[in-house]
Amino acid sequence: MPTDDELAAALAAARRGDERGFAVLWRALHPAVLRYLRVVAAEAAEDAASETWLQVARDLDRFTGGPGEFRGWLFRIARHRGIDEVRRAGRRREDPAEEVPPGTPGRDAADEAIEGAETTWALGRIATLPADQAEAVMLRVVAGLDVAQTAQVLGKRRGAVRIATMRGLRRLALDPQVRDRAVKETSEGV
Amino acid sequence: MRLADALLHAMRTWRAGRSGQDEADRLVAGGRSGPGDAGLDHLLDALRAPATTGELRGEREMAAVLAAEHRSAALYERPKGRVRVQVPRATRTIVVSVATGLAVLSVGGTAVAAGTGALPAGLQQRAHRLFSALGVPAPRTGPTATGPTPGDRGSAASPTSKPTPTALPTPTPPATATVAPPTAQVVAWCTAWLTAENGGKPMNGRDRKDLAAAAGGADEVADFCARSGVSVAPTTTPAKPGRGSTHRATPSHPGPKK
Repeated sequence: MPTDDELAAALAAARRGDERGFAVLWRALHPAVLRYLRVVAAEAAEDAASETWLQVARDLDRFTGGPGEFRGWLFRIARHRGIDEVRRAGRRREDPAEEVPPGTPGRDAADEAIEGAETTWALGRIATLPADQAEAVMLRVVAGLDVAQTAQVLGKRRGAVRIATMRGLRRLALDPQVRDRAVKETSEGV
Repeated sequence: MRLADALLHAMRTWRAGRSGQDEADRLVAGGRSGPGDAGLDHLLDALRAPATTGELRGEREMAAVLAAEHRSAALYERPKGRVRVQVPRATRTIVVSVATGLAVLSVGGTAVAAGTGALPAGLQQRAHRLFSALGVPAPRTGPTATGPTPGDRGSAASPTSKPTPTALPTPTPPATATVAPPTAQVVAWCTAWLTAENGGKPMNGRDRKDLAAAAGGADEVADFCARSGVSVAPTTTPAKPGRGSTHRATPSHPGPKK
Protein backbone atom coordinates (compact mmCIF):
# COMPACT_ATOMS: atom_id res chain seq x y z
CA MET A 1 0.00 0.00 0.00
CA PRO A 2 1.58 3.30 -1.04
CA THR A 3 2.01 6.09 1.48
CA ASP A 4 -0.03 9.28 1.30
CA ASP A 5 2.94 11.09 -0.23
CA GLU A 6 3.19 8.49 -2.97
CA LEU A 7 -0.52 8.74 -3.59
CA ALA A 8 -0.30 12.54 -3.74
CA ALA A 9 2.49 12.24 -6.31
CA ALA A 10 0.44 9.72 -8.29
CA LEU A 11 -2.56 12.04 -8.16
CA ALA A 12 -0.50 14.92 -9.53
CA ALA A 13 0.92 12.69 -12.26
CA ALA A 14 -2.55 11.49 -13.23
CA ARG A 15 -3.74 15.09 -13.45
CA ARG A 16 -0.91 15.73 -15.90
CA GLY A 17 -2.23 12.80 -17.91
CA ASP A 18 0.58 10.42 -16.91
CA GLU A 19 -0.46 6.77 -17.25
CA ARG A 20 1.82 5.76 -14.39
CA GLY A 21 -0.08 8.05 -12.05
CA PHE A 22 -3.32 6.29 -12.94
CA ALA A 23 -1.61 2.92 -12.54
CA VAL A 24 -0.48 3.70 -8.98
CA LEU A 25 -3.90 5.02 -7.96
CA TRP A 26 -5.68 2.06 -9.48
CA ARG A 27 -3.37 -0.54 -7.96
CA ALA A 28 -3.65 1.08 -4.53
CA LEU A 29 -7.41 1.58 -4.42
CA HIS A 30 -9.09 -0.70 -6.94
CA PRO A 31 -9.17 -3.79 -4.68
CA ALA A 32 -10.99 -1.84 -1.97
CA VAL A 33 -13.38 -0.33 -4.53
CA LEU A 34 -14.09 -3.76 -5.98
CA ARG A 35 -14.68 -5.35 -2.56
CA TYR A 36 -16.97 -2.51 -1.53
CA LEU A 37 -18.89 -2.88 -4.77
CA ARG A 38 -19.19 -6.64 -4.35
CA VAL A 39 -21.24 -5.84 -1.25
CA VAL A 40 -23.22 -3.00 -2.90
CA ALA A 41 -23.67 -4.33 -6.42
CA ALA A 42 -22.98 -8.10 -6.11
CA GLU A 43 -22.45 -9.57 -9.61
CA ALA A 44 -22.40 -6.12 -11.18
CA ALA A 45 -19.37 -5.14 -9.07
CA GLU A 46 -16.81 -5.42 -11.88
CA ASP A 47 -18.83 -3.24 -14.25
CA ALA A 48 -19.54 -0.73 -11.53
CA ALA A 49 -15.84 -0.55 -10.64
CA SER A 50 -14.90 0.12 -14.27
CA GLU A 51 -17.53 2.83 -14.52
CA THR A 52 -16.22 4.32 -11.28
CA TRP A 53 -12.65 4.60 -12.55
CA LEU A 54 -13.72 5.99 -15.91
CA GLN A 55 -15.68 8.70 -14.17
CA VAL A 56 -12.70 9.43 -11.93
CA ALA A 57 -10.54 9.88 -15.03
CA ARG A 58 -13.10 12.14 -16.68
CA ASP A 59 -13.68 14.35 -13.65
CA LEU A 60 -10.18 14.39 -12.23
CA ASP A 61 -9.55 17.96 -13.38
CA ARG A 62 -12.58 19.11 -11.42
CA PHE A 63 -11.39 17.37 -8.25
CA THR A 64 -9.33 19.41 -5.85
CA GLY A 65 -7.78 17.86 -2.79
CA GLY A 66 -5.22 15.45 -1.49
CA PRO A 67 -5.15 11.65 -1.18
CA GLY A 68 -7.54 11.65 1.80
CA GLU A 69 -10.19 13.61 -0.05
CA PHE A 70 -9.55 11.54 -3.16
CA ARG A 71 -10.41 8.38 -1.26
CA GLY A 72 -13.74 9.86 -0.12
CA TRP A 73 -14.48 11.18 -3.59
CA LEU A 74 -13.62 7.82 -5.18
CA PHE A 75 -15.97 5.89 -2.93
CA ARG A 76 -18.74 8.43 -3.39
CA ILE A 77 -18.52 7.82 -7.13
CA ALA A 78 -18.26 4.06 -6.55
CA ARG A 79 -21.45 4.08 -4.51
CA HIS A 80 -23.40 5.91 -7.22
CA ARG A 81 -22.09 3.70 -9.99
CA GLY A 82 -22.82 0.62 -7.89
CA ILE A 83 -26.43 1.68 -7.37
CA ASP A 84 -26.72 2.43 -11.11
CA GLU A 85 -25.39 -0.98 -12.06
CA VAL A 86 -27.76 -2.74 -9.68
CA ARG A 87 -30.69 -0.94 -11.32
CA ARG A 88 -29.42 -1.84 -14.77
CA ALA A 89 -28.86 -5.47 -13.76
CA GLY A 90 -32.40 -5.53 -12.40
CA ARG A 91 -33.70 -4.42 -15.77
CA ARG A 92 -31.58 -7.04 -17.51
CA ARG A 93 -32.96 -9.76 -15.28
CA GLU A 94 -36.45 -8.83 -16.41
CA ASP A 95 -35.33 -9.56 -19.98
CA PRO A 96 -34.42 -13.28 -20.02
CA ALA A 97 -33.14 -13.08 -23.62
CA GLU A 98 -30.02 -11.32 -22.44
CA GLU A 99 -29.09 -13.89 -19.84
CA VAL A 100 -25.64 -15.26 -20.50
CA PRO A 101 -24.86 -18.86 -19.53
CA PRO A 102 -21.97 -19.01 -17.07
CA GLY A 103 -18.77 -20.26 -18.65
CA THR A 104 -16.68 -23.00 -17.07
CA PRO A 105 -14.03 -21.47 -14.86
CA GLY A 106 -10.47 -22.07 -16.06
CA ARG A 107 -7.50 -23.17 -14.02
CA ASP A 108 -6.45 -19.57 -13.25
CA ALA A 109 -9.91 -18.71 -12.04
CA ALA A 110 -9.87 -21.73 -9.75
CA ASP A 111 -6.50 -20.71 -8.31
CA GLU A 112 -7.74 -17.20 -7.76
CA ALA A 113 -10.85 -18.52 -6.08
CA ILE A 114 -8.64 -20.30 -3.56
CA GLU A 115 -6.44 -17.22 -3.17
CA GLY A 116 -9.35 -14.93 -2.38
CA ALA A 117 -11.55 -17.57 -0.75
CA GLU A 118 -11.48 -16.12 2.74
CA THR A 119 -12.10 -12.61 1.42
CA THR A 120 -15.01 -13.87 -0.64
CA TRP A 121 -16.38 -15.67 2.41
CA ALA A 122 -16.01 -12.52 4.52
CA LEU A 123 -17.74 -10.38 1.89
CA GLY A 124 -20.52 -12.95 1.83
CA ARG A 125 -21.02 -12.51 5.59
CA ILE A 126 -21.00 -8.72 5.24
CA ALA A 127 -23.67 -9.02 2.56
CA THR A 128 -26.00 -10.65 5.10
CA LEU A 129 -26.05 -7.43 7.15
CA PRO A 130 -28.66 -4.74 6.68
CA ALA A 131 -27.49 -2.47 3.85
CA ASP A 132 -26.58 0.55 5.98
CA GLN A 133 -24.51 -1.57 8.39
CA ALA A 134 -22.80 -3.45 5.57
CA GLU A 135 -21.84 -0.24 3.79
CA ALA A 136 -20.65 1.45 6.97
CA VAL A 137 -18.43 -1.52 7.86
CA MET A 138 -17.02 -1.74 4.32
CA LEU A 139 -16.27 1.97 4.05
CA ARG A 140 -14.67 2.12 7.48
CA VAL A 141 -12.75 -1.16 7.43
CA VAL A 142 -11.96 -1.76 3.75
CA ALA A 143 -12.02 1.71 2.18
CA GLY A 144 -10.30 3.15 5.24
CA LEU A 145 -12.56 6.21 5.38
CA ASP A 146 -13.01 8.05 8.65
CA VAL A 147 -16.42 8.64 10.21
CA ALA A 148 -16.88 12.05 8.56
CA GLN A 149 -16.01 10.79 5.08
CA THR A 150 -18.20 7.72 5.48
CA ALA A 151 -21.05 9.95 6.59
CA GLN A 152 -20.55 12.07 3.48
CA VAL A 153 -20.48 9.08 1.14
CA LEU A 154 -23.61 7.59 2.67
CA GLY A 155 -25.40 10.90 3.11
CA LYS A 156 -25.90 10.20 6.81
CA ARG A 157 -24.95 11.91 10.05
CA ARG A 158 -21.75 10.92 11.78
CA GLY A 159 -23.60 9.49 14.76
CA ALA A 160 -25.67 7.29 12.47
CA VAL A 161 -22.50 6.01 10.82
CA ARG A 162 -20.88 5.14 14.15
CA ILE A 163 -23.97 3.29 15.32
CA ALA A 164 -24.35 1.44 12.02
CA THR A 165 -20.68 0.38 12.16
CA MET A 166 -21.02 -0.82 15.73
CA ARG A 167 -24.22 -2.76 15.07
CA GLY A 168 -22.71 -4.31 11.96
CA LEU A 169 -19.61 -5.50 13.80
CA ARG A 170 -21.68 -6.77 16.73
CA ARG A 171 -23.93 -8.71 14.41
CA LEU A 172 -20.90 -10.21 12.66
CA ALA A 173 -19.38 -11.21 16.01
CA LEU A 174 -22.56 -13.12 16.81
CA ASP A 175 -22.88 -14.64 13.32
CA PRO A 176 -22.74 -18.46 13.80
CA GLN A 177 -20.59 -18.89 10.69
CA VAL A 178 -18.10 -16.33 11.99
CA ARG A 179 -18.07 -17.97 15.41
CA ASP A 180 -17.63 -21.36 13.75
CA ARG A 181 -14.52 -20.09 11.91
CA ALA A 182 -13.11 -18.88 15.19
CA VAL A 183 -13.57 -22.28 16.82
CA LYS A 184 -12.00 -24.01 13.80
CA GLU A 185 -9.06 -21.61 13.76
CA THR A 186 -8.32 -21.94 17.48
CA SER A 187 -8.72 -25.72 17.45
CA GLU A 188 -6.44 -25.96 14.41
CA GLY A 189 -3.93 -23.66 16.03
CA VAL A 190 -3.77 -25.58 19.33
CA MET B 1 -18.70 -25.11 25.93
CA ARG B 2 -16.11 -22.90 24.31
CA LEU B 3 -18.78 -21.55 21.96
CA ALA B 4 -20.99 -20.60 24.89
CA ASP B 5 -18.08 -18.77 26.56
CA ALA B 6 -17.35 -16.90 23.36
CA LEU B 7 -20.99 -15.89 22.98
CA LEU B 8 -21.09 -14.63 26.55
CA HIS B 9 -17.89 -12.69 25.99
CA ALA B 10 -19.30 -11.15 22.87
CA MET B 11 -22.48 -10.13 24.63
CA ARG B 12 -20.45 -8.45 27.35
CA THR B 13 -18.17 -6.66 24.86
CA TRP B 14 -20.91 -5.45 22.58
CA ARG B 15 -23.08 -3.62 25.02
CA ALA B 16 -24.95 -0.81 23.42
CA GLY B 17 -23.85 2.78 23.92
CA ARG B 18 -20.61 4.67 23.91
CA SER B 19 -18.39 1.77 24.98
CA GLY B 20 -19.72 -0.29 22.07
CA GLN B 21 -18.98 2.51 19.61
CA ASP B 22 -15.48 2.97 21.00
CA GLU B 23 -14.89 -0.74 20.66
CA ALA B 24 -16.07 -0.54 17.05
CA ASP B 25 -13.68 2.34 16.35
CA ARG B 26 -10.84 0.33 17.86
CA LEU B 27 -11.61 -2.69 15.67
CA VAL B 28 -11.97 -0.55 12.56
CA ALA B 29 -8.55 0.93 13.28
CA GLY B 30 -7.12 -2.60 13.27
CA GLY B 31 -7.36 -3.48 16.95
CA ARG B 32 -7.88 -7.08 18.03
CA SER B 33 -11.13 -8.06 19.64
CA GLY B 34 -9.47 -10.76 21.76
CA PRO B 35 -9.73 -14.53 22.06
CA GLY B 36 -13.50 -14.55 22.49
CA ASP B 37 -14.03 -12.85 19.12
CA ALA B 38 -11.35 -14.53 17.06
CA GLY B 39 -13.92 -15.12 14.34
CA LEU B 40 -14.54 -11.41 13.94
CA ASP B 41 -10.80 -10.74 13.85
CA HIS B 42 -10.47 -13.37 11.16
CA LEU B 43 -13.30 -11.84 9.15
CA LEU B 44 -11.88 -8.31 9.35
CA ASP B 45 -8.44 -9.61 8.35
CA ALA B 46 -9.99 -11.34 5.36
CA LEU B 47 -11.75 -8.14 4.33
CA ARG B 48 -8.44 -6.26 4.53
CA ALA B 49 -6.40 -9.00 2.90
CA PRO B 50 -3.88 -7.92 0.24
CA ALA B 51 -5.19 -7.66 -3.29
CA THR B 52 -5.44 -10.93 -5.19
CA THR B 53 -3.99 -11.30 -8.69
CA GLY B 54 -7.53 -11.48 -10.00
CA GLU B 55 -8.39 -8.14 -8.50
CA LEU B 56 -5.33 -6.50 -10.04
CA ARG B 57 -5.52 -8.11 -13.46
CA GLY B 58 -5.29 -5.69 -16.37
CA GLU B 59 -3.56 -2.88 -14.52
CA ARG B 60 -1.66 -1.67 -17.58
CA GLU B 61 -4.66 -1.69 -19.88
CA MET B 62 -6.73 0.05 -17.27
CA ALA B 63 -4.11 2.77 -16.71
CA ALA B 64 -3.93 3.38 -20.47
CA VAL B 65 -7.72 3.55 -20.75
CA LEU B 66 -7.95 5.95 -17.83
CA ALA B 67 -5.26 8.25 -19.20
CA ALA B 68 -7.04 8.28 -22.57
CA GLU B 69 -10.38 8.98 -20.92
CA HIS B 70 -8.80 11.81 -18.97
CA ARG B 71 -7.30 13.27 -22.15
CA SER B 72 -10.52 13.16 -24.14
CA ALA B 73 -12.49 14.58 -21.23
CA ALA B 74 -10.01 17.44 -20.99
CA LEU B 75 -10.43 18.07 -24.73
CA TYR B 76 -14.16 17.77 -25.11
CA GLU B 77 -15.89 17.97 -21.78
CA ARG B 78 -14.23 20.81 -19.98
CA PRO B 79 -16.61 23.49 -21.28
CA LYS B 80 -19.57 21.44 -20.08
CA GLY B 81 -18.79 22.02 -16.45
CA ARG B 82 -17.10 25.40 -16.62
CA VAL B 83 -18.86 27.31 -19.33
CA ARG B 84 -21.06 29.14 -16.83
CA VAL B 85 -20.38 32.74 -17.72
CA GLN B 86 -20.72 35.10 -14.84
CA VAL B 87 -22.83 38.05 -15.95
CA PRO B 88 -22.95 40.96 -13.52
CA ARG B 89 -26.39 41.68 -12.16
CA ALA B 90 -26.35 45.23 -13.57
CA THR B 91 -25.56 43.98 -17.07
CA ARG B 92 -28.28 41.37 -16.81
CA THR B 93 -30.78 44.04 -15.78
CA ILE B 94 -29.80 46.26 -18.70
CA VAL B 95 -30.01 43.42 -21.20
CA VAL B 96 -33.41 42.36 -19.92
CA SER B 97 -34.76 45.93 -19.97
CA VAL B 98 -33.50 46.60 -23.48
CA ALA B 99 -34.95 43.32 -24.72
CA THR B 100 -38.28 44.09 -23.09
CA GLY B 101 -38.26 47.61 -24.54
CA LEU B 102 -37.57 46.30 -28.02
CA ALA B 103 -40.36 43.76 -27.68
CA VAL B 104 -42.80 46.47 -26.55
CA LEU B 105 -41.71 48.77 -29.36
CA SER B 106 -42.04 46.14 -32.05
CA VAL B 107 -45.46 45.02 -30.84
CA GLY B 108 -46.58 48.61 -30.41
CA GLY B 109 -45.15 49.57 -33.77
CA THR B 110 -46.97 46.74 -35.45
CA ALA B 111 -50.17 47.85 -33.79
CA VAL B 112 -49.69 51.42 -35.05
CA ALA B 113 -48.78 50.14 -38.49
CA ALA B 114 -51.89 47.98 -38.51
CA GLY B 115 -53.99 50.94 -37.41
CA THR B 116 -52.76 53.09 -40.27
CA GLY B 117 -53.01 50.22 -42.71
CA ALA B 118 -49.29 50.27 -43.41
CA LEU B 119 -48.65 46.53 -43.02
CA PRO B 120 -48.05 44.21 -45.98
CA ALA B 121 -51.36 43.10 -47.46
CA GLY B 122 -51.40 39.60 -45.92
CA LEU B 123 -50.58 40.81 -42.44
CA GLN B 124 -52.91 43.75 -42.76
CA GLN B 125 -55.76 41.43 -43.75
CA ARG B 126 -55.11 39.28 -40.71
CA ALA B 127 -54.82 42.29 -38.43
CA HIS B 128 -58.04 43.63 -39.86
CA ARG B 129 -59.83 40.37 -39.27
CA LEU B 130 -58.60 40.21 -35.66
CA PHE B 131 -58.86 43.86 -34.66
CA SER B 132 -61.37 45.46 -37.00
CA ALA B 133 -63.35 46.47 -33.92
CA LEU B 134 -60.37 48.59 -32.90
CA GLY B 135 -60.35 50.35 -36.24
CA VAL B 136 -57.69 48.37 -38.05
CA PRO B 137 -58.40 48.80 -41.75
CA ALA B 138 -58.26 46.09 -44.40
CA PRO B 139 -55.27 45.98 -46.76
CA ARG B 140 -55.06 48.70 -49.38
CA THR B 141 -54.41 46.82 -52.55
CA GLY B 142 -54.99 49.47 -55.17
CA PRO B 143 -53.18 52.60 -54.06
CA THR B 144 -50.09 50.84 -52.77
CA ALA B 145 -49.26 49.77 -56.29
CA THR B 146 -49.45 53.26 -57.72
CA GLY B 147 -47.68 54.79 -54.75
CA PRO B 148 -48.27 58.49 -54.02
CA THR B 149 -50.05 59.22 -57.30
CA PRO B 150 -53.67 59.05 -56.06
CA GLY B 151 -53.02 61.64 -53.39
CA ASP B 152 -51.07 63.94 -55.72
CA ARG B 153 -53.41 63.85 -58.61
CA GLY B 154 -56.52 64.05 -56.50
CA SER B 155 -59.55 63.24 -58.62
CA ALA B 156 -57.63 62.35 -61.73
CA ALA B 157 -59.32 59.74 -63.83
CA SER B 158 -56.74 56.96 -63.92
CA PRO B 159 -56.31 56.18 -60.20
CA THR B 160 -60.00 56.52 -59.41
CA SER B 161 -61.01 54.11 -62.10
CA LYS B 162 -58.81 51.39 -60.68
CA PRO B 163 -60.55 50.70 -57.39
CA THR B 164 -64.08 50.77 -58.76
CA PRO B 165 -65.65 47.42 -59.56
CA THR B 166 -66.50 48.64 -63.05
CA ALA B 167 -62.87 49.05 -63.97
CA LEU B 168 -61.24 46.62 -66.35
CA PRO B 169 -59.32 43.77 -64.70
CA THR B 170 -56.14 44.65 -66.61
CA PRO B 171 -54.52 46.89 -63.96
CA THR B 172 -54.42 44.08 -61.41
CA PRO B 173 -51.92 41.46 -62.53
CA PRO B 174 -52.89 38.42 -60.40
CA ALA B 175 -55.55 36.69 -62.47
CA THR B 176 -57.27 34.94 -59.58
CA ALA B 177 -57.80 38.20 -57.71
CA THR B 178 -59.39 40.18 -60.55
CA VAL B 179 -62.59 40.96 -58.69
CA ALA B 180 -61.44 40.82 -55.11
CA PRO B 181 -58.96 43.73 -54.91
CA PRO B 182 -61.33 46.60 -55.81
CA THR B 183 -64.02 45.08 -53.61
CA ALA B 184 -61.62 44.74 -50.71
CA GLN B 185 -60.52 48.31 -51.24
CA VAL B 186 -64.05 49.59 -51.35
CA VAL B 187 -65.00 47.51 -48.34
CA ALA B 188 -62.03 48.93 -46.46
CA TRP B 189 -62.91 52.47 -47.41
CA CYS B 190 -66.54 52.08 -46.64
CA THR B 191 -65.82 50.37 -43.36
CA ALA B 192 -63.54 53.21 -42.36
CA TRP B 193 -66.06 55.78 -43.59
CA LEU B 194 -68.98 54.20 -41.75
CA THR B 195 -66.87 53.83 -38.64
CA ALA B 196 -66.03 57.52 -38.80
CA GLU B 197 -69.67 58.41 -39.46
CA ASN B 198 -70.72 56.42 -36.40
CA GLY B 199 -68.34 58.43 -34.27
CA GLY B 200 -65.51 55.92 -34.26
CA LYS B 201 -62.03 56.39 -35.53
CA PRO B 202 -61.77 59.29 -37.96
CA MET B 203 -61.02 58.34 -41.54
CA ASN B 204 -57.67 58.81 -43.14
CA GLY B 205 -57.75 61.99 -45.25
CA ARG B 206 -56.34 60.45 -48.37
CA ASP B 207 -58.67 57.46 -48.17
CA ARG B 208 -61.59 59.82 -47.74
CA LYS B 209 -60.61 61.70 -50.86
CA ASP B 210 -60.12 58.47 -52.84
CA LEU B 211 -63.43 57.12 -51.66
CA ALA B 212 -65.20 60.33 -52.63
CA ALA B 213 -63.58 60.14 -56.04
CA ALA B 214 -64.58 56.51 -56.47
CA ALA B 215 -68.15 57.25 -55.42
CA GLY B 216 -68.34 60.22 -57.78
CA GLY B 217 -68.51 62.90 -55.12
CA ALA B 218 -68.55 63.26 -51.33
CA ASP B 219 -72.35 63.27 -51.33
CA GLU B 220 -72.48 59.96 -53.17
CA VAL B 221 -70.38 58.08 -50.61
CA ALA B 222 -73.32 56.94 -48.51
CA ASP B 223 -75.15 55.48 -51.47
CA PHE B 224 -71.96 54.08 -52.90
CA CYS B 225 -71.16 52.23 -49.70
CA ALA B 226 -74.74 51.06 -49.31
CA ARG B 227 -74.50 49.59 -52.80
CA SER B 228 -71.23 47.87 -51.97
CA GLY B 229 -73.01 46.13 -49.10
CA VAL B 230 -70.72 47.32 -46.35
CA SER B 231 -72.30 47.76 -42.98
CA VAL B 232 -70.80 48.32 -39.59
CA ALA B 233 -72.39 46.65 -36.64
CA PRO B 234 -73.44 49.43 -34.32
CA THR B 235 -72.31 47.53 -31.22
CA THR B 236 -68.69 47.51 -32.32
CA THR B 237 -68.62 51.28 -32.76
CA PRO B 238 -70.57 52.92 -29.98
CA ALA B 239 -71.21 56.62 -30.52
CA LYS B 240 -68.34 58.51 -28.90
CA PRO B 241 -68.16 56.92 -25.49
CA GLY B 242 -65.44 59.06 -23.95
CA ARG B 243 -62.47 56.82 -23.29
CA GLY B 244 -63.26 54.19 -25.83
CA SER B 245 -63.23 56.57 -28.74
CA THR B 246 -60.03 58.29 -27.73
CA HIS B 247 -58.45 54.90 -27.44
CA ARG B 248 -59.47 54.03 -30.92
CA ALA B 249 -58.47 57.37 -32.23
CA THR B 250 -54.82 57.05 -31.27
CA PRO B 251 -53.64 55.01 -34.23
CA SER B 252 -55.23 57.44 -36.65
CA HIS B 253 -53.34 60.50 -35.48
CA PRO B 254 -51.01 60.40 -38.46
CA GLY B 255 -54.08 60.64 -40.70
CA PRO B 256 -55.39 64.13 -39.90
CA LYS B 257 -51.88 65.57 -39.92
CA LYS B 258 -51.44 64.83 -43.61
